[in-house]
Amino acid sequence: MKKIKSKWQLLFMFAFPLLWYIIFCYVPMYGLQLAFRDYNPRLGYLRSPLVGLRWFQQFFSSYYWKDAVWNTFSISLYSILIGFPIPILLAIIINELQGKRFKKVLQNITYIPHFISTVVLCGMLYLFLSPQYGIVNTFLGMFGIEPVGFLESSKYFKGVYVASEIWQESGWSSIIYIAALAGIDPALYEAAKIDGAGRVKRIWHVSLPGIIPTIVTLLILKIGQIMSIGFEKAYILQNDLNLKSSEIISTLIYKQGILQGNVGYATALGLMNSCLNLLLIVLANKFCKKFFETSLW
Amino acid sequence: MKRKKALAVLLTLGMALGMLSGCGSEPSADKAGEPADAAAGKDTAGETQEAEGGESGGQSAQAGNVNAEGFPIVNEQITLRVFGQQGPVQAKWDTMGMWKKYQEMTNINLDFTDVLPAEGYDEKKSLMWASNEYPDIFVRAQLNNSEIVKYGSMGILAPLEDLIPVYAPNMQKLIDEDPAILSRITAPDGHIYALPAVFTLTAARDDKFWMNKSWLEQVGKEVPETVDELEEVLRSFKGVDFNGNGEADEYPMGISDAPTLIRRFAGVWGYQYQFGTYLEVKDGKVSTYLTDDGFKEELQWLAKMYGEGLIDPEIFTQEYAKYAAKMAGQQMGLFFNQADDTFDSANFVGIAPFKGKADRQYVESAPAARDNGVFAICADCENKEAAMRWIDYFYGYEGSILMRYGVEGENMYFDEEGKPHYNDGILDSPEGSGTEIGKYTIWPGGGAPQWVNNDNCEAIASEATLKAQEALDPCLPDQIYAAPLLEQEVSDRLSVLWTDLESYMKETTAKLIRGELNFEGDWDTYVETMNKIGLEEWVSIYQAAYDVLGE
Repeated sequence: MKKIKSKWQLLFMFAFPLLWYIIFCYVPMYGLQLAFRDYNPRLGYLRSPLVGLRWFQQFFSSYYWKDAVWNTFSISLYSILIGFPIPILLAIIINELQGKRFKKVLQNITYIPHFISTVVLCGMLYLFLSPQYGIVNTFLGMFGIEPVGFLESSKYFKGVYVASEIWQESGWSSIIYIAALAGIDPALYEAAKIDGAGRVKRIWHVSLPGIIPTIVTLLILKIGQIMSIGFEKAYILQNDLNLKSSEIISTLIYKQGILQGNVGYATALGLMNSCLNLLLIVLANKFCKKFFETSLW
Repeated sequence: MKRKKALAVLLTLGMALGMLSGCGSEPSADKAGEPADAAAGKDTAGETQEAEGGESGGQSAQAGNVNAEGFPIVNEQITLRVFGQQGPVQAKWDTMGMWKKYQEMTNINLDFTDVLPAEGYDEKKSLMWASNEYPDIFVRAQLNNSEIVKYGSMGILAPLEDLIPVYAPNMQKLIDEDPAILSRITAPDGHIYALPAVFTLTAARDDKFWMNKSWLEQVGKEVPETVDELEEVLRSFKGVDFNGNGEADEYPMGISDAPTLIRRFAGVWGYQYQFGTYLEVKDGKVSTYLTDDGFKEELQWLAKMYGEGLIDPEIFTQEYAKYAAKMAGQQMGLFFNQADDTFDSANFVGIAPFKGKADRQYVESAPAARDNGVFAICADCENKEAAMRWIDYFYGYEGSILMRYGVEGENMYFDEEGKPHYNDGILDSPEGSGTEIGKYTIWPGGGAPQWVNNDNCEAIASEATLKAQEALDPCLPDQIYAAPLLEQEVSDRLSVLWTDLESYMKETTAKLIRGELNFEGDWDTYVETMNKIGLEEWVSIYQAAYDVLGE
């Protein structure tokens, strides 16, 4: 009781996120039972007939399920492999820069793409990558390269997705690392300097170890989202020609659940996706605990 | 003090839990009666209590308020809540003259709150079904077959077969004249949950082949009759700057999308298009041609044309609006459209499907009950009889003219012989007649509850269109089967199968046409995969439905 009294401000602030979680994350879980029911709006959640694992069987017997799972997984994996180190690099570069003005300009330029909405971004991608008049193909044409239909082929879809993701989010994601770098005791740098460490050595031995906990935490969180990549972007960039690499679980859920009204099927897909996510985050956490001695729990 | 804090925390938790359970019970069934009550509106507030008792029976409690014939339909004013789609070329429904007039005639008010724009309509429709709060009637709501069967059998849509003979004499007459309509709209459980639009006019049921006459003249060619001649003509179109704007924005052949292109030319290769899909019916047997060698030949030909740059390369990605713009801009040498309402047909001629690849050419044509699911009544509706009488007017002569032409004096007039005509300036509107008419009636865009016949077809069947239809008439199949209404489980299975088959087929054929896959090894893989996905099972579902129809 005494503890509660002394910390009431903290508890008060905590109450809002807690409420948010209860209302938007826990209450909707009630609807997960639809994954095992043949939903009939007349009968409601509790009285719709149970169908067991029918929806899961239906998914695993469909022709596209392997593609959908693999696309979801691989697009995320590529974004992490290629996209994760870039903000760290960017943060270190910005941290090392001397000129204050230049630093600010660089930071602003790299942040700005983050504020472009997905729909606008996809429109830009369509314009830039168009085989007829897109800037990219015009540029390639100057070197005698035939125009490439980047969005009209399943070959380039993932590349386009990941590259645009990096362009859009790297600057924004680097903020947290810049903050972490600013928190490193300047005395450490001075000591390293006195010991004769050059710039690269200082980055390697002082800057990086200083932000390792941040890196690991963010990595685990990132892995936890591996199966839940952005629906809008994949859906907007999708067409018949790149379907093989652009059909991800969330676009399937949208098509089945919202467009066709197969509520049970879509819920089952979502539930399965969440379970995979949970599994991945637990594994990633274990891995990091073992190798970096930092973890979420 | 401490206690108070603890109490506050408890209260907060309690409130949170209250919300939780509140959310939980909301979607359950006990609210079924509510939307109907709300919709009954102010005038019938006193009678809602009786209504609840009568609802489970065949007749609504409000039946006594309905006049058996003539207007007004109801003595005491009622309100019907409408769910529907405002088509892309239509104005807002509450501004339309036809509804204003019809509301006065019938004494039935219409609440158009749930008439939604086409953009994002499918999502909103799905959410409406799942909500358990329904409107009274569905008008031009684009209900598809699986929805009709699914929500009909769930008891959301009211069965109409008992209401039709009594309250819908016009519809009954159409059914008596063409019993095929009945087999189109009867669900496997024997009920009729939705009404179709009836087209006794064949020109409204297929896409014409429009050839650019002025381009033909400019390159000095005749109208092509065979596939080989067509090739020649398309080649001669290529690279010519017909509109003289200095840009290469002319396409020898254009179409809305690749699957439609494949279907149009499947007819040229002698394949029918039955049940609204890639199926043929011959001697009582249903078969598909998606893995036939002839179909492969067709694709090879399309690939050749595409490779030579004779087909608009945007057919794989374009939106329909872009195609419409190309039609209006006369940017295509040959293209396909049902009528000439979207472009000026002075320069165009409707031609017959090209000969030379099969003994007989076929044209994909819809059955007389072309659009199904254009009207339905919710089981919760308290005024089912009135709703049935309300819709039936549009299946009769006078009503069909109100639907097709709008209000006399405002949008149309009758000539000395009593034939209806649009006011001057409507059919030759610079925006296109469809957009112009869409300002005051709901049929442009299709899917509306209507009866289209030879007397009310001025807008969709201009002289040019009727003439173009003459070229196609010999190619119509003797019997045209509509997509059957299937039992829930069969239709679920069919939808899963078809989703997979269609996406794979669309993707592969697109790649074959673009030359990204070859017609040797890749074609064999395609045939193999189609069979593996379940092409045979897919056909057998239609065979079974066909057998039932035969009985």
